[in-house]
Amino acid sequence: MADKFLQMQQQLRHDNEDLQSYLRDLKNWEADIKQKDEALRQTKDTQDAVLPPIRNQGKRKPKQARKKKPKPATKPSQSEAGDQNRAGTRHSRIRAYDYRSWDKFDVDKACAEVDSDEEDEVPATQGENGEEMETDTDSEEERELERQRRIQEANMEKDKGNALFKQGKYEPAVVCYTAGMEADPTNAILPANRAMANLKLERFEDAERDCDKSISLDCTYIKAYARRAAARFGLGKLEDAKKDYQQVLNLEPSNKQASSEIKRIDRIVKDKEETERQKLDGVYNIIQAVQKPVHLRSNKPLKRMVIEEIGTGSGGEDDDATQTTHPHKPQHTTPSGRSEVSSPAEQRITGDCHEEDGTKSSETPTPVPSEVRVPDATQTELPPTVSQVPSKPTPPVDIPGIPSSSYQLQSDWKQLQKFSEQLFQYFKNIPPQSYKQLLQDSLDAALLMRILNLLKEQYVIHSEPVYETLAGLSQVKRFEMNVMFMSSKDKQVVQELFSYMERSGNVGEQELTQLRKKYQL
Amino acid sequence: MEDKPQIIAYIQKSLNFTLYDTRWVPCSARFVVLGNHPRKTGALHVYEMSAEGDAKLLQEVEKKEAFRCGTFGASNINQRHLATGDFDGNLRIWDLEKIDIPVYSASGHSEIINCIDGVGGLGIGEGAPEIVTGSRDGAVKVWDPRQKDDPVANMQPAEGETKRDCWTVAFGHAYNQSDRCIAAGYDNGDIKLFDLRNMSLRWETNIKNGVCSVEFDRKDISMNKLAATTLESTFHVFDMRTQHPTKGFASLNETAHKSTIWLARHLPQNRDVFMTLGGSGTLNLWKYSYPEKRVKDDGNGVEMGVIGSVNLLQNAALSTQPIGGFDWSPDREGMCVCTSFDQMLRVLLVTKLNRV
Repeated sequence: MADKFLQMQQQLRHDNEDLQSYLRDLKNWEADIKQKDEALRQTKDTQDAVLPPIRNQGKRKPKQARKKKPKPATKPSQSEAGDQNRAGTRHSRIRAYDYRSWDKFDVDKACAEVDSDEEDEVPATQGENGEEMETDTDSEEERELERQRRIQEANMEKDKGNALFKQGKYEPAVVCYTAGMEADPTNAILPANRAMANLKLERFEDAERDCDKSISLDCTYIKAYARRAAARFGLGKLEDAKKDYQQVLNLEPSNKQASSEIKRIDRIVKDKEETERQKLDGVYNIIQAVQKPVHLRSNKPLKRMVIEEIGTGSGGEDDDATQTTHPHKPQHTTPSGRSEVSSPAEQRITGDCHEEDGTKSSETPTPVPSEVRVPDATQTELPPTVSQVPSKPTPPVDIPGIPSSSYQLQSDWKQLQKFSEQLFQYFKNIPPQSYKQLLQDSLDAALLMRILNLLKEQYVIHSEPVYETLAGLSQVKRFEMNVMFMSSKDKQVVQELFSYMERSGNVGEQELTQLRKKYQL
Repeated sequence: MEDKPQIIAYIQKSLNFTLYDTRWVPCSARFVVLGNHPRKTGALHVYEMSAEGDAKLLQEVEKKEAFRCGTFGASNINQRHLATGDFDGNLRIWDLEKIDIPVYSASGHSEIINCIDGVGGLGIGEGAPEIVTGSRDGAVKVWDPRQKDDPVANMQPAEGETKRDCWTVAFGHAYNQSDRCIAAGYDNGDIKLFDLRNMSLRWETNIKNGVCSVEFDRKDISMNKLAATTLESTFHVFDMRTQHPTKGFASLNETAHKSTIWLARHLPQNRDVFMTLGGSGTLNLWKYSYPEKRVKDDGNGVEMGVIGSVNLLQNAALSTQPIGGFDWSPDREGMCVCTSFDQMLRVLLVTKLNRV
């Protein structure tokens, strides 16, 4: 028992001694390690910058890999250095006892590599001079390299774009320039070139924006001004265009193009003023609205008439050969070559009418809107409300093509709205998938209801499927908002469309339910 | 009897937030404590051992997301950047000198990152510096601090499979540039061994009990041993040297602590000594002894591993609450720091480890 007690005491003493010595050591160690720690905190260099490549990088980032491929062609020295770096690490890993590897080690090659590796040596020697500097210079150098690389890339894209442009492939050229702009946003040439391509594609607004950008980067870049002027001319901003050409002349007084363009603009402006005045005169000269009290009006039955287009506003009264009367041409269809016709669609329609009237006006069964009734062939009076006449042209036989903008759609619609058959044909041609793109955010309640009503009236009659159209509409921006404000009457229209779809049974139950949700039924 | 190591609580500190993890800053007398404040913000404290036998608070930072775990394993020894996983699934890397903004940030998981491990830094492990995170969302992701935003490898259950909560991950087998393995433990008792070289699942087993912690005895050697601890007071040791085509790796299991075994941590200075940390605030120090022959023939001419044995060197009870964080000092043998859920931070000394 006593033996055991003694043993325990001894054990305790031993343990205590051990602990004491441990603690003594600990103090020394603490002082030691703190010095090391401090030293490490001071030196902020990263010695072994050569690390193995990132795992699965090729697989994960195929895009990057693709981008990097063309690099060796432009900067062989750099990527080679990188390769050699890696090779270098591999070599440095040959152990002293690994004789077989040393046998295979090609000294000449290694020497050559070391020689060509000077680039990399430079920052290393800098690091020796000032260790604190190294990370800074390293990262700065990296940044500089990155910048250089991007500039190179931008130039490459520019060259590619220029080549495509020369071949007349404007669309791919725009893509190239865009990529270049992303790579180097400080380059003023790229946006200017893209503007040129956009000009060729007649995207004047984009072109103007690109030129703005180019000019903001380099306010002395003459081509950008000239192109912006062209874009603005295309947009009809003649004043602005002229200003730009003047700026070109300021920068380069001998620029012939600019001076001739300014002259041209001046001429156009003058012409325009002339026609404006003529128009005003015309209004005063031609339009003579006559108001007659009801009891004085003719009692003769009203007669259907065919409205014919005629070249000038000169009297149509004399032309009685066809037994039809021509009321005075309303002001805005008179001079056919005038520039202020508001939209291309309108232009087209009137043009078509010309043709039709010229060739086979008598054969074409042209339904005349019932409101236009001329009292008598001999009567020279004008219908009381002249302004109404132009809005009811003869129904276009040619249905306008697929519109490219919501504005065009609206104006085509306006043209066609009285002729629901044509309107139906016209609207059917627009692929429902393109609604979103076409309408952007110009979908309003009125337009939506017009479309829905058209669906209800025409599509149902023709047993045309409406699901696609409804689904397409539901993708358009601000659709939900418009649906939210639908009146109960409007909702009824939608409801009818849905019951029509149910009846036709072309659409799956699930899709229908989903769509119903979108239309908030 | 005489050479039994002693476990001595050298420093004890009561803190005012929940402590989840603690790590020694490599090559220093400093350590980092990670946790969350009651208001769900992340707490990061840096302490330094002082000559008076105390831990001095050097830095105190509060971040938006509550920290769950951290590691220095993927950082360069000169930089000593701390990688952390938080409750919102973000992986962040911090420079302790400039703690204001993380040097790397990726929202890696949709749920809490339970565990993190790093390799390739600090001169431990060959190859690229990589961080692995395991999360409640079932995914185990490998990150390279040089690649922004995206993990370099992602191991998650296939579409439709149930997602198990990943509680623990550990790197190992990083003994050359290309070889590297990850062991991951899940709440259903699955242990999966991912081979990063072949990008494949090399081995999996189920130990029938939620896996709280796995750790290789060394990260930078050809796989030697793997310790795995479970929810219900058993831990397993696998001999990872020899993989049998059907039987897998030889293993032993041992019961200890009479509660959840939260962690197993191998001594950096001796890979056969490890500490297990129990749910009742107890610490057990174990030594693994190899069998006479580690490989035997299975009767068909195929090699299979032979497992050795473990003996308990010492045990100690420090707390009544689980010890959730533990780290051996890589620089000082026998010194370790641990955190328990009673908000206590302790620096422990384990003596005579050089004589076991």
